[in-house]
Amino acid sequence: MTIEITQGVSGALPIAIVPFGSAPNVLLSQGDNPSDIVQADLIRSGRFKSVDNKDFITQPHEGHEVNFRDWRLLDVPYLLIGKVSSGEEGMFDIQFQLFDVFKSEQMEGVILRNVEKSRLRSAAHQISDLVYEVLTGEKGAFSTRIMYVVVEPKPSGRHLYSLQVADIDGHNPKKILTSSEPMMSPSWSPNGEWVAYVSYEHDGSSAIFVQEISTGQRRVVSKQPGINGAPAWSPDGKRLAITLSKGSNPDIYILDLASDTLQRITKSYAIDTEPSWAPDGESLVFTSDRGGNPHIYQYGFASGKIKRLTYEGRYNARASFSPDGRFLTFIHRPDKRFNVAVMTLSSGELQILSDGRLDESPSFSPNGSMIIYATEDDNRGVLAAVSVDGSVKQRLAMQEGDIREPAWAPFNR
Amino acid sequence: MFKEILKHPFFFIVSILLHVILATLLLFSLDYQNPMPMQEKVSVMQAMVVDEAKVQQAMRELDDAEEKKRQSLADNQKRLDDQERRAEEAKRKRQAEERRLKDAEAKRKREQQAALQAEKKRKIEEQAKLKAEAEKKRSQEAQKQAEQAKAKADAERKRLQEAQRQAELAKQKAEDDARKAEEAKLQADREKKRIEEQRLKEEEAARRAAESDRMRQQLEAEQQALAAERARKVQTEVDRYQSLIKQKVMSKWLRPVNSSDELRCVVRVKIAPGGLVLIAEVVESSGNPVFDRSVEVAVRSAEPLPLPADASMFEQFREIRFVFEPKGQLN
Repeated sequence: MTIEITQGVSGALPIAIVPFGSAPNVLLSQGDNPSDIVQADLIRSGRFKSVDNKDFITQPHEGHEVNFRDWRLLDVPYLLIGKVSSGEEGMFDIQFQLFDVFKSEQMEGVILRNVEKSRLRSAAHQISDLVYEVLTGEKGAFSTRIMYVVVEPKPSGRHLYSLQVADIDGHNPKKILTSSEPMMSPSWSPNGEWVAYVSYEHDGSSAIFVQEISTGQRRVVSKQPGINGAPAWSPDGKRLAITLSKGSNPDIYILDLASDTLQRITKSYAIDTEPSWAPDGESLVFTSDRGGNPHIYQYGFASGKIKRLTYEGRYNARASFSPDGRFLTFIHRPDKRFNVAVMTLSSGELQILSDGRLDESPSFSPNGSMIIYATEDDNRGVLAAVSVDGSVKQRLAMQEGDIREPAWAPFNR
Repeated sequence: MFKEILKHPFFFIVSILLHVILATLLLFSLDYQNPMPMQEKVSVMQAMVVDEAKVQQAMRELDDAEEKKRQSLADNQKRLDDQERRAEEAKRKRQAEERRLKDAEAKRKREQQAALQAEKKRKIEEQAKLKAEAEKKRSQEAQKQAEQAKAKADAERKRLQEAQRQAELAKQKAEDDARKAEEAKLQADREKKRIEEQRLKEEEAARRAAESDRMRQQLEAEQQALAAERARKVQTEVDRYQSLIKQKVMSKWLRPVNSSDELRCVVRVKIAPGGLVLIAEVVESSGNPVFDRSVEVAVRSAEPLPLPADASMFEQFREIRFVFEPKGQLN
């Protein structure tokens, strides 16, 4: 007998994550158990749903303690267990095992040795990546970082601006630049070592900087009259697409970083801005109001032609590609709100993923499974992430301040 | 004796008459003074028979005459007996008379007168004798005539009998002919009937054969229809459960996000009664391990697979090839 299965269900993979056991001499603070971090990561991705551990019949920490029948009863196909034990010099060994419940097989088993206490979260994200990759076949992006701008009020009444880099769950933020002048539009270089951004620190006028994250070294790459804005790294890391007005209407230019030469891409009486490279580097998308309302257009380098991509609604802006180039995410205005949308390029089909009042700056995770964006919460900008299917939305835990313009880093190299 | 008498009534009558005459003569010879009255008279019917009925009539009359004769003979016998008895008495009387004559000479006159009387008697006797002879002659003549009549009647009867025989023969023949004709007709009828019966029989046989053929065909058709019906029911049931299995596996198949539409994976599943999955192995990989595993998990987590309650259908479910071939994007 042959049965053809042509349809499945969409949805998250159920996984049982047993809280990792810890040796008596290992004291983990609340929320620091790697299993908690892994669970939060996996759920945030939208690809997994965890089984409530109140349902667990047993709480195994090692393979020999697992009775697969217990887990089959919960109808859960995957099981993650692990334990934390003390390693050398106050460091920790973290062991985890991932099982296929129905096949009664271990799929993955790893021991991370000598993890410093400060690196426990990173280690947990690493476990998340491994589990994610085993179960989805896609690389996990839990160990990547995000960059964003924080605006903090100062007692003087002025504001302090900072460019910060943090783990994707918002933990471990690090300021890479602070200024009393506004900064905006941070953009990762493809290798994740450099960042380009716009700062108004010079005489209150805009300039585009590139800065090496690890050293803090930076330089101005564009300081044209008028607007210098919206830098975007080319996939090969050698060029920036930028917006220059040069005292007129803003247009899109390509800046060669090695030669500091400019190539003009658009020339219209409308506003053309917010360029973003296709992953293959053969085209750009940008926002233009040349049709009366802001919409997304695509420029092909080979043809030199510009094609309008969005027709739905009266406001579509701030587009960027998914890592595989199949989708665009941008801000769409369905009514009075501004929301994150994803468009399938092949079909033009649009899906709205967020539901805030003023959502902005969407950007794909490097594995394409999530989109991070800024939203408003109590008149304060906060970061949020949504799975590309829109099933899971989550605010990211952040410290004080008004947070804007997140950018998801590429995979670490 | 009686039969003999009946057979030969004339001789019997004649002998009786002779006896009577002799007795009379004896009586007269012994005692003329006591003449006995003549009583006997035998008449013979003359009959001319011209036809059977008349013959019969004559014969009946003859019979009647014979009966009468017989009756009269019996009467005569009685009378003879009486006469003998009286003769005996007369003898005794005569003896007594003789003794008395011897005793009484006086009575000789009377004896003379008696002699005269006897003479007279003798004359009368003579006359009687003549008359008897005439009678005898007449009787003989009558007898002769009767015999002739009888012969004639016999001849006539014979002729009639012959005619009757002939008639009967003719009738017999006619009857035989008729019978033969009848028999021939019957034979013909029988033959016809036999042929008809044969024909009917053959027709019946043919009809029965056709009927049985038809019945057999109908039976076969019915059996085929039944088999088809059962097969259809089984198939329906199999289809139903196939569909149920499909639905369950589909509901369990968490199709990997972003998996290509091009992927195709075939899993061979061996199933135990009760729907338990014994073995689920990928026999044609999609090339994408996550896709393959999603398929395997779908099959395994669909356990127990819904199976028909009818164990005889289990064979069809013992091994199932699941072809996972997504059509269209996930929503």
